[in-house]
Amino acid sequence: MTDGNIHQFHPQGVLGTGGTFGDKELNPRACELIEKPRATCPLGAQHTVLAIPGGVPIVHAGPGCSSKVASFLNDQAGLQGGGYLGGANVPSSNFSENEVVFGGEAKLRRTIEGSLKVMAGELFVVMTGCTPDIVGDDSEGVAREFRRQGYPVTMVETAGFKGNNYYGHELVNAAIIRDLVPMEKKGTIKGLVNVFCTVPYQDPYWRGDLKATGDLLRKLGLIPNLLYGNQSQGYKAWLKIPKAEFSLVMGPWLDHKTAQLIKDNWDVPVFHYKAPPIGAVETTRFLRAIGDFASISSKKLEKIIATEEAIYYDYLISAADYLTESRNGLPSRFEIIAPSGAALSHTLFWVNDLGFSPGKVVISDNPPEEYRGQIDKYFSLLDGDEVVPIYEEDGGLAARIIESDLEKDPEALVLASSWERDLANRTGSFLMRVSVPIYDRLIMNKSYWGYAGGLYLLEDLHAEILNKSA
Amino acid sequence: MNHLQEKSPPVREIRLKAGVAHLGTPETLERDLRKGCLNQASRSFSQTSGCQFTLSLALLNTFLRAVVILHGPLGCGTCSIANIGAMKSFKRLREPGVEGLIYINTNLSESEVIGGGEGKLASAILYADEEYRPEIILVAIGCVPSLIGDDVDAVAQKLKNVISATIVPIHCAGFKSKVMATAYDDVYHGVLTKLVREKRYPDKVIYDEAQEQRRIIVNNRTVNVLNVTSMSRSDELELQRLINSLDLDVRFVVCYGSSNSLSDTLDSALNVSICGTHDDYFLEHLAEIYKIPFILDTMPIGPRNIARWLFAIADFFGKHKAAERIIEEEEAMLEEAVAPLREGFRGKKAFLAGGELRVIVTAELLSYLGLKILGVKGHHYDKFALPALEQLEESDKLVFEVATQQPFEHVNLAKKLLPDVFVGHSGGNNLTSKLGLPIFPLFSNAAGYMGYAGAFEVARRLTRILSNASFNKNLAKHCKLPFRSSWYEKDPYAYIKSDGLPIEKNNVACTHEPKVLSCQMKPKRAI
Repeated sequence: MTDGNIHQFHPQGVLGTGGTFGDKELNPRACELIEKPRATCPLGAQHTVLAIPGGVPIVHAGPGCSSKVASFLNDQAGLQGGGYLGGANVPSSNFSENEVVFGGEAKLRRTIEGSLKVMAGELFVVMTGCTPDIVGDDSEGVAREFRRQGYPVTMVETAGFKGNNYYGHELVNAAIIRDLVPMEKKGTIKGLVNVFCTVPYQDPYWRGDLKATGDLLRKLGLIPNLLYGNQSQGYKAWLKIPKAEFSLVMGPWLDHKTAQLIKDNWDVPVFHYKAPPIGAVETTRFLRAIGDFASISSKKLEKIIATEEAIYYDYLISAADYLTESRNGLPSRFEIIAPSGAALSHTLFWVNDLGFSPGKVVISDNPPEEYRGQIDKYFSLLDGDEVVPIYEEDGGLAARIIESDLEKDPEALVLASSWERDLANRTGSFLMRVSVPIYDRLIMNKSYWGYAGGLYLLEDLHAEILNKSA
Repeated sequence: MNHLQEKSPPVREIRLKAGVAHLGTPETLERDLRKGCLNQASRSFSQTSGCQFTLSLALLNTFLRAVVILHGPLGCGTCSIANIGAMKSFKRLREPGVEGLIYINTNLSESEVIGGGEGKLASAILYADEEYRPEIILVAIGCVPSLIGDDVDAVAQKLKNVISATIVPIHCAGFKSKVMATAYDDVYHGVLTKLVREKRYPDKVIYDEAQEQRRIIVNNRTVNVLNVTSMSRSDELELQRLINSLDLDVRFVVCYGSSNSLSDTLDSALNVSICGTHDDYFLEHLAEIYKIPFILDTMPIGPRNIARWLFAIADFFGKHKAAERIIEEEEAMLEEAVAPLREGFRGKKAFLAGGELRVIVTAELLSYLGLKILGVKGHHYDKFALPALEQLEESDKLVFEVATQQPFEHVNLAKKLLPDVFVGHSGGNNLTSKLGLPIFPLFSNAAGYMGYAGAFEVARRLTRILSNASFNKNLAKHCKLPFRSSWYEKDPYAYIKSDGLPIEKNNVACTHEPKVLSCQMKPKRAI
């Protein structure tokens, strides 16, 4: 830092074009501070490991790192808890001053040894934090020692300054596939589908979402290979990845690279669908698309769709007595702050299924630049209005973007997080909690995906509306 | 003790010879503490413990009309979101209508790791001041800026004259200390250097002698009680009631403090701690620099410790007789209230885990109620637990474990000790509930534990919890714990060892020999 002149820091100077601080440009909001965070650091991907039955993360980081991300993903993601090994049970080297000075490799080695002996797990993923990555530990080397001895241990560099936990999630998937799934391929299991559609815990509804996805695939006669959650076979499911007929990726960018890696390694084709489907219109489109890809006879497919739609619309037609009678008093616009997948799913549902008009759609997961053109395109292909999504990782600014809309016209549905509770109350709009943090609702097996999901979503919205008006 | 000229306080491993790993009895613990052996003990395998950064935030998040800046990458401080709702309501119990928690993360990325994060921090401070107009801007400094060498004090110094808020840097990088409680020293260091100051009274045109005398009289009867984040507003009101009954005024300081209330800190006759682990750094500095006497003894939980705590205050003001009368009256009322509940506690065995002092005083309260204490586990251990240990009957028969979290050890221990109820700190209760044990939280910032009212409140809620443990028992039936069955056959202290540090020679007499580990798990398959 060079000696800056005091007058350069004067607030008026700063808020205009910005002064300088040393050789740095000073513009308070142009330098990516984060308020109201909606994701955590890459180490948050320890929860991707925790979501695999028998998965054990071994955290090589400071003493508080693992519990910090656990606090975010166990408690503030719908109070869903950490499951089998969550919370204080995660092994950690608790990297401290001694390791900063002398290096932490020996400590990591002891921690892995202890984890293998004490923790009942099937696969172990060493995850580093900021401190070992700055002092330059060869953590990969240590993990490799164990792998060479035959232990199922892999490693990812998840230092906090490298991005967010969406980035970390892809790293973990890639590391397990690269290091712990053998390269040779022994045949294909007919109908087996690798499922990539969610980031466990970061998507607070992930347990229900995986179940909903599995149910949809089973209806078509396919076998879902679920890699996370209580219906997954854990490490066995990962070992089956090469034998799948294809990989299903739902979402505009996440895990596209993971599926590509599987394709490169074992020639497993990939079926992309733009976003997880909510409600009848989109779910039917999804079923036709995947049915076409998996060469399911159209007769069988249309029969399944007809059955599902008949049930769905029976409920909806009945509820229409209330919905259409009081339509004038109900909101018909929505504002979104959510990761790209959820934002797209909800936009498609509310526009195509229910005829709402979109307000601002703010995307919070910072998708890599290369995918943004495609994401914009998805949002322009709606049945009704067109949406231009806004990419904003800073949750504070995101809230302000929809705040200005709500202040002009509060008669709206807000699809966002618990951060927006006060805003919704103040303006008199209706909040649906679809992205983290959610600290004022308990979420266990709920999912808004598929045919039934659309109905649950409508029920929850009207609980909110009737709570205020009835 | 005066460390205020230094940038940050010394860590507790060095200042207090505190330790975080031990398993034995209070006797072995005291012996190891004296020899410095406890200080050197560590684990060859550990689970995530928690860092001083997190604990600092627990205090910093309570300050009124303040903005907390978390100087570090995105993940540091996502734990603060847990406090958003609670902090707003707890702050408003102290001052209606006040803003809830506002915090900003500097979101350090790879380019700051290389180029330094000072510019970003300066931007965050200016933004906080412009946007929220707080009285205080607290900067919690994490591991990354500490390692890359950001000079936060220099940034604060440079911005001091261009913003209206007081900037308080808190040096609390997680890697610096294994003893989480060092966080209290870090926060107090910031408060002492930036927020506590002698008031300057402007020269008055008309000097009102009566008003001046009144001020002096009031100050001479005012006691500062240092509150902690793990206590509730009802705890504060109960302690206030007890001290008021001695004809003294009370001011609660530091937690839920504002710029104004903290600058009043010096207007008092006596500082009283309710938790030795928490407060010694603050109290000793106030005594040394501003000559304000202090009492740092036990915690007012359970009748014996309440009496000891209250007598200490009364004696200072020469009010022993009055205190005797009050305590006698209160104890009689408490006894009458808990007598019908005692039947439900008879023969029940308890294991406690949490802060070193709090577990011991709560153990005394439980044994007063009629429970049998099997053992206690403290986050860390140092000399501040001694006064409370004296109050505990048959303390020599206890199992005493020292560990910050480390559920693998206490689950192993609980399986061997087989208690009827587990009284634990948040973060460990959920894991222990899966053993099928009824759980009683060691503290709650929404319920009473302290003073006589708190003692009854504990008895009442414990009765309810012991009466039906079906939920936890059902959980246990269907829950697999994440430990290999071979782990339960081992001693819970199998991974506690003395690190190979210079002091090792003194360690030979320690109970736990260093153990060499070798990997015995059979490889499942070659990859």
